[in-house]
Amino acid sequence: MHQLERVTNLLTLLLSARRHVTFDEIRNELRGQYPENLVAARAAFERDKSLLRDEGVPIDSVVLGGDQAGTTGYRILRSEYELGDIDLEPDEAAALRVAVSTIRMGQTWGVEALWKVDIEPGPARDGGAAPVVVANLPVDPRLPLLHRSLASRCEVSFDYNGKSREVRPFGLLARDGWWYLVGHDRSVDELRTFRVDRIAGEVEVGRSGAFTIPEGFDVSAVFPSDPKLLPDNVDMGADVAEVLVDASDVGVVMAQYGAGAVVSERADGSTVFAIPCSNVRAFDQWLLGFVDRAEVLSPPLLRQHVVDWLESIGARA
Amino acid sequence: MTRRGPRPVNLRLRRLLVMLPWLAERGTVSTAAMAEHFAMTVPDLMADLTLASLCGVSQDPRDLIDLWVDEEAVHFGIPKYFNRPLRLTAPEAFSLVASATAARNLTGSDLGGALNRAVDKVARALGIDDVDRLVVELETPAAVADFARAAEAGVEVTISHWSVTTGDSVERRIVPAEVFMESDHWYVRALDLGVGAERTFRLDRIESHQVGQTRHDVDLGPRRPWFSDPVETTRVTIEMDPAWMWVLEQYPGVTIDEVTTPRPQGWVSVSMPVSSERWLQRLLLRLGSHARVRAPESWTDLASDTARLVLTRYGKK
Repeated sequence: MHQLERVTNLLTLLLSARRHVTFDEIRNELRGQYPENLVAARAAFERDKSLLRDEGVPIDSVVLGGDQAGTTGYRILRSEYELGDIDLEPDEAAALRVAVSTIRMGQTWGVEALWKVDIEPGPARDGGAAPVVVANLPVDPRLPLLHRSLASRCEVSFDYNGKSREVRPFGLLARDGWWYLVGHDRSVDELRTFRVDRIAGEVEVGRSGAFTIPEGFDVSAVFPSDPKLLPDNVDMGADVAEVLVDASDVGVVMAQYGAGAVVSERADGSTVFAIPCSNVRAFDQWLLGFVDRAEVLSPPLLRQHVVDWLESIGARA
Repeated sequence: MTRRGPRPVNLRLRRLLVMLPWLAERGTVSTAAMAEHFAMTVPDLMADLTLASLCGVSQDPRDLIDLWVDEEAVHFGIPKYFNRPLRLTAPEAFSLVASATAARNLTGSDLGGALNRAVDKVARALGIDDVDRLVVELETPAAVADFARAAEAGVEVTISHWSVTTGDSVERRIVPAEVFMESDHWYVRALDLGVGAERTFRLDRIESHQVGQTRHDVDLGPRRPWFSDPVETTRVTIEMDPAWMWVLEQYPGVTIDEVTTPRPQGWVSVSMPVSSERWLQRLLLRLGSHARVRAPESWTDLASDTARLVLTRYGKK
């Protein structure tokens, strides 16, 4: 018998059960579908259960008492299994459809969700054409679990930068092409931000309702949007650098920092900008992107740091 | 010719659990329409539904899932087991909420209120009481809306595009086909009328644009992955300190090679596609003394040559 047929039968049985049923009872009801050999039958049953649970089927299991004391019983509560009525109006359904076709995450999760809420997936435009605006969000297989943990207020534990962390998730933030988990790290008793793709290995989830999120907590506000503003404890004598940018690249810097960052303009069109440099490494990455079309004027320590960096490249050659 | 392997059981089950309640609600549906809705072939659909029609708590025909399939249509009788879809899985819920949250940020999006209401309803059904804990920051430049409208209408746009390679701005006439965001940058994919070929332009490097009136019938087909045309890129091998791999994280096509060559202890060999020498200069300056080019030979001195070039700005030879 094909596993799909057997597992569908198992599902109908557990959904119809009015009480928890044991493995022996299941085997008896689905006669001939599990192997004769008890060990092989048990292994096949475990595979089926695992398949159902991986697909999100909530199989409830309890250790029974009475004349079945010590054996495990299984059933599926319809209230836990079934998706409630979402009752979307046509314009709401259309908006969700556009959202899923416009925001891509490299997975079929969104389309499968639309099927369940009974929205026709597919192109967002009339006439079946592909959408003309598409945003690709980064995706990480641990994000759904972190999202569920956040919604259920479950503590999570994982390894990060070689250390074990126990975190109460307060928010998830997609910024600059990365996902961040922000939460209270119990290991250090402080608020911390973790880049999700840098979490090592699996995420373990604790019990639900384990904490509350502080009133007014704003995940966007907890760390600066410009990494150059994040202090890195390297003292360059100032938090803002004066950078001379060639005329050819002034437009790019203007688009990033606006006219408010202009310190002075020179006759040849080159311009001095005031650029945050609290985080020297982030500043370096930004500055060196201009190659020879930008130069640090001040602070002197930062200028010398750039010279040292460049000379170290020459020294290695 | 490649032959398709068997479809995985978990995917077939997942699809079945969403198809059965959908079918139960409709009664009779043409096989072609149903296959199209669920993105399947008609033979696959018929195989899965035929198998489902043999499933139930027992083999008594009264206990089987009440459906039958003929060549033209699928007929559903009395719903017994799968009256409602399975609740959304964690990935589906995450995807729906994240897509909707992100789509709300799109400039020019007229989804507004409908999307907000849809997100609230979905969140309520999922037991998520505060969707605002998940934030997707998606900055959409005002130009996105203009290029999207031009793509919908097939009209040409004259742009002034700044080249990072030369630092010059060049005027081009393009017909936009798609506007997309990837790794935190927005791009417009278009037919470049000057060269008669597809080109992709980063939006923050378009200094100005003027939407014209002339219409063109353009079909560029689906977008290809970055660097899918090997003629346009050079594969570069870099040896580097793995602690600096974060600099490369944002770039596509980076692979860590399992080669053993003489190099500083613990360094790794990385290969990646490079589209221009200027781009590689920027990368090598950012990596500093933590990396060096091994191949192609013509670029092995590029880092030190570029560092010397920049040092002249600082009065160093």
